[in-house]
Amino acid sequence: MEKQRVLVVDDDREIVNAIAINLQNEGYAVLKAYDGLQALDIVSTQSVHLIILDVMMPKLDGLSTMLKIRAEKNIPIIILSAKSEDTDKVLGLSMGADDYVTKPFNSMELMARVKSQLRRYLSLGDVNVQTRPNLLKSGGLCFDLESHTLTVDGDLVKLTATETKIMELLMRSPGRIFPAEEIYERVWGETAYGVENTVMVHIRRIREKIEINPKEPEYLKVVWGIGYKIEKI
Amino acid sequence: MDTKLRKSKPFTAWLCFFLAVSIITGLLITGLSALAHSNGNVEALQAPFTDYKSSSTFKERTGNYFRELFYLVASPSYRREGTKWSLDNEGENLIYYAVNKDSGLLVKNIEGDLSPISDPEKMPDLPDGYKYYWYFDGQKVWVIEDGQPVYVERLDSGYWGIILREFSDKTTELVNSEVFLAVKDTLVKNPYGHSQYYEEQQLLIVLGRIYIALLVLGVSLLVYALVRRREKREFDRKLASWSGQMWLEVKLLLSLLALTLTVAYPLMGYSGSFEWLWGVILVSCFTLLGLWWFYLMLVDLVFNGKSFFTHNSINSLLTWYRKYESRYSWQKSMLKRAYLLVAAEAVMALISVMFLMVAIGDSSGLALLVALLIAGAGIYLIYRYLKRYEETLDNLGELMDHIELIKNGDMKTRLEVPADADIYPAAQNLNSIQEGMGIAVAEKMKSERMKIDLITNVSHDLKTPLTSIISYVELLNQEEGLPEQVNDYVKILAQKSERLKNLIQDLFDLSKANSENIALDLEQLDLARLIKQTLADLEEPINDSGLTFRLNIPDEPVYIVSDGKKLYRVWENLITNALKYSLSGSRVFIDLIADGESAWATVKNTANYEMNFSEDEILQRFARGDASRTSEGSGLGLSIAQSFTQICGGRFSIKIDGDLFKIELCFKQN
Repeated sequence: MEKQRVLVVDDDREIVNAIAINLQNEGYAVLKAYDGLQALDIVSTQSVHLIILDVMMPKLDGLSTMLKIRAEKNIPIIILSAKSEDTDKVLGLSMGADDYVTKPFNSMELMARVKSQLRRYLSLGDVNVQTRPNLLKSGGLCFDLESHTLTVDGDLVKLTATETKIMELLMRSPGRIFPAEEIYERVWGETAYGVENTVMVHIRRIREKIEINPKEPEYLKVVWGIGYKIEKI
Repeated sequence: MDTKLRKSKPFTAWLCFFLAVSIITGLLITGLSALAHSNGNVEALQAPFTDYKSSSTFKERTGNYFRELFYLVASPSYRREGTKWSLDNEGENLIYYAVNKDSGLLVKNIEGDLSPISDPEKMPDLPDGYKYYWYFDGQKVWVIEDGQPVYVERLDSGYWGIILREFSDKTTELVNSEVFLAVKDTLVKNPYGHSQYYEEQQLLIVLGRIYIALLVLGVSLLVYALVRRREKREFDRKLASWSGQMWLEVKLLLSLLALTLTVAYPLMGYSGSFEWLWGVILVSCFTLLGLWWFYLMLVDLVFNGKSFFTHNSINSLLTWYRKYESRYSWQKSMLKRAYLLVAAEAVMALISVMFLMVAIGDSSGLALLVALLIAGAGIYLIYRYLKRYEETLDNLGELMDHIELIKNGDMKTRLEVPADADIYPAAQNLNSIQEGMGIAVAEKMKSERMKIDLITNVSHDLKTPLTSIISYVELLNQEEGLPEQVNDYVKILAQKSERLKNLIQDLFDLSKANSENIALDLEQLDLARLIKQTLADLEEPINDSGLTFRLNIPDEPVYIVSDGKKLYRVWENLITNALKYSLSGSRVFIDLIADGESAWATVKNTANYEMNFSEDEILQRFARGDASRTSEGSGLGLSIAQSFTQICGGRFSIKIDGDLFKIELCFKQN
C-alpha cells in the first residue's frame, strides 16, 4: 500500500523536523513547508492526505492558508498553535479545521490525532459512508445497537458490560446531560444514593479507552456541577 | 486707541456715511424749513436759480411802487414826501412819471414831459437801459417788456393779482391820469428797494451753488460709504459695543430726550422768539442729533440683540449681588439671599402702605399708582426669587443624577449647568473630578491591556522554543541503547520541560483572569455536585496521598449561577493544594453550607510545614512556603483559584491559625 502523505507547515524548522521524524517513524511520507504560500504550492501540485498547520507564520498565516485550501479540497487539517484559549480553538474549528492541538504538544498525542483523522478521512468519511438505523454515531465514535459494540475511528473498543450500558445510554441522546443518579438508576437498576464516585470511576475508565487525551476529552465530557454527556458532533 | 481708530478704514468709511447723511438731511431740513417759511411757495426755493426780474417779488415790488404813484396823483392829501422818498431811494433804477390832468398833480423824476403816450406799445423816449415799464392810460394797465406787452391777465403770469389790486379803489378818480414807471435793466447797487432784493438774490445764487456743491458732496460721500459698507459695518459694531455698555434705562431716557428735541421742539418752536434762521439751524441740529441717536440705538439693537434689553440696571444689580454673594460660602449666601428678600419685601410693603394711606386723601390717584407699582415690584421680586430657587433645586437634582452616573462608570457625559447657576462651581468641580477619574481609569485599562498583551505575547514566544525542547526530549526518550545515566538526564529534562509548560499556562491563565477580560459561560449548577465530581475526578491522587477526606456536603442540590469549568479549576487547585501541603496521615475537611441566599464552602487542612507567612502573602503570586519551594507546580494554584472565584462572582478568603490552613468560599444563591 502506498504511504500516506502528510504535509507539515510551520515557520520553525526544528519543530517541522521533529514532527517529521515522528511521522516517518509511524510510517508516513512527509512533505515540509515553512510558510503559507509554500504550503499552498505543495497542495496544488502534489497529492496530500493530511496537513498539520501552524497559525502564526510569515507571508500567509495559517487560518488564511486553511481558508484557501478549504475552498478546493476536503483533506483533514490539524491546526497546531501556541494560542491555547477556548476562543482560539472555536475560531480555528469553525473556520474548517478538523482538529486543534496546542503547543507545546505531546508527540504521542499528535500522532494519535493524525492517525484518527486519516482513518476517519480515508476509511469512514469519504470512502464508504454507511448509515444504518441501528448505528449511533458521534464524530469518529460509533455504537452498534445490534452487536452492542463501540468503535472509535473504526477500531473496536473493548468495554465491560456496565461501560457498554453507560455508553449506550449516553449515545442514544448525544448532547443531553445525564446526572450521576440517573445514569446509576438506568444502568444498575437500583435507587441511587451517593453514587458520584461510582459513576465517575466508570466515566474515567471509558475515557481512557476512547479518548486520545483523557484529560482533554473530545467525546465523553463532564459538565461540572450538572452531570455527564456525549458531545454531539 | 483714539488715533488708531481715526486712521483706520472703518472709521473713514463710517465718517463718510455720517457726513453724507448729515449733509443730505441738513439740506432737506433747511429746504423744507424755507418752504414752510414761505408758506408753501415753491418759487422761494427756485429763487437762487431764477432771474430776479422774472420773480414774483420783483413784480410785486414794482407793482407796489406803481400803486404809490397812483396814490400820489390821485389824492393831494397823501403823504407825498415820504412816499416819494422811498421811490427816490431807488435812484436811477427807476424812472417814473405820473400826472392827474384834472387836479394837475404831477410826480416825476425825469426831465421833460412824457405825456401823452399815444400808443402804449410804442417805446416812449427814454434813456438807454430801461426796456421794462408799467403804464396806465386812464383805462388799463400795461406792462411792457422789450416793447412787447406782457400778458397781465393770465393767472400764471404773476401780474393778475397785482393789477387787480391797483384797480381796487382809486380807478374812477384816475380816468384822466397817466402813470408810467420804468425799471432799469441792470439794477444799480444801493441798500434799498429793488437793489436790496437784488443783492439778496445775488447772495442766494451763491447759497444755491453751495447748496448744490453740498448735495454733490453728500451724494458722493454716500456712494463711497455704500461701497465701503463692510468697513462701515465694522465701525458700527464698535459703536454698538460701546453703546451696549449703557443701561437700557439710560438709553430710554436719552431716547425720550432726543424725541422731545426732534419732534416736539419743531412743532412748538416757531412761535418762539428765535429768528427764523436760528430756528432752522437749531431744528437741523436737533433733528440730526435725534437721527444719529436713533441710528445708534438701531445699530445697538441689531448687533447686541437680546442684550440690548437685558443689560439694564436690575440685571447689573443682580450680577453685582451675585459677585458679592460669591465671597461667602454656598449655604451662607443662600441664607443671606432669603434674609435679604424678606427685608426688601418688608421695606417695600411699608412704603406701599404709606403711599396707600396718602392715597386716601389724594384725589389725583398718583399715590395709589405709586403704591401699586411698589407692590407689583415686590411681587415680581418674590417671583424671581422663587424661580431662581426652583432652578437651583433642578440643578441640584441634576448634580445628584450626575454623581449617580459617575458612580455607574460614565466618565464621558459632562454636567451642563448655566454659568450663572448657584451650583455652577460645584458642577465644574464635579466635571473635573470626573475627567480626572476618566483619565485614570482609561490609563489603568490601557496598562492592564498592555500587561495582558505582554504576557500573552511572552507566553506565546516561550511556547515555541519549548515545543522544540519537548519534541526533541521525546525523540531522545525513544532512542534505544543510550547509556543509563543519559536516560536519567533525559527523564529530568522531560520532567522540567513539562513543569515549564504548566508554569507558562498557569501564568497566562492568571493574568487573563486578573485582567477581568475573560468570557464567562454562566449557567445554573449544583455546587455540591461539582465538589463531589471534582473529588471523584481526583480519586486516584487522593487515595495515593494517604490523607482522609471528611466531607460535610448536603445531599440536596446547592444551586448557584456560575461558570462550571472555572469552578472546577478552583476546586481542583484547592484539593491539589491540600494534597500537596497537608501533614501526612492528617484529615482534610470539606464543608458546604447553604441557606438559600448564600453558599459557604470551606476547605481545612493541617499544614506539613510551619506557615510563617500571612494570609495576604500566600496570595501574592509565586509566594509559597519556603519548605515547599522544590515541589512540583507553579505556585500559582491559590492565586488562580482566588481570581477564578472572584470572576465567577464569589468571595475567596484564607485564614491561618497555627498549623490550620482554612480556605473559605462564598457564593450568592439565586
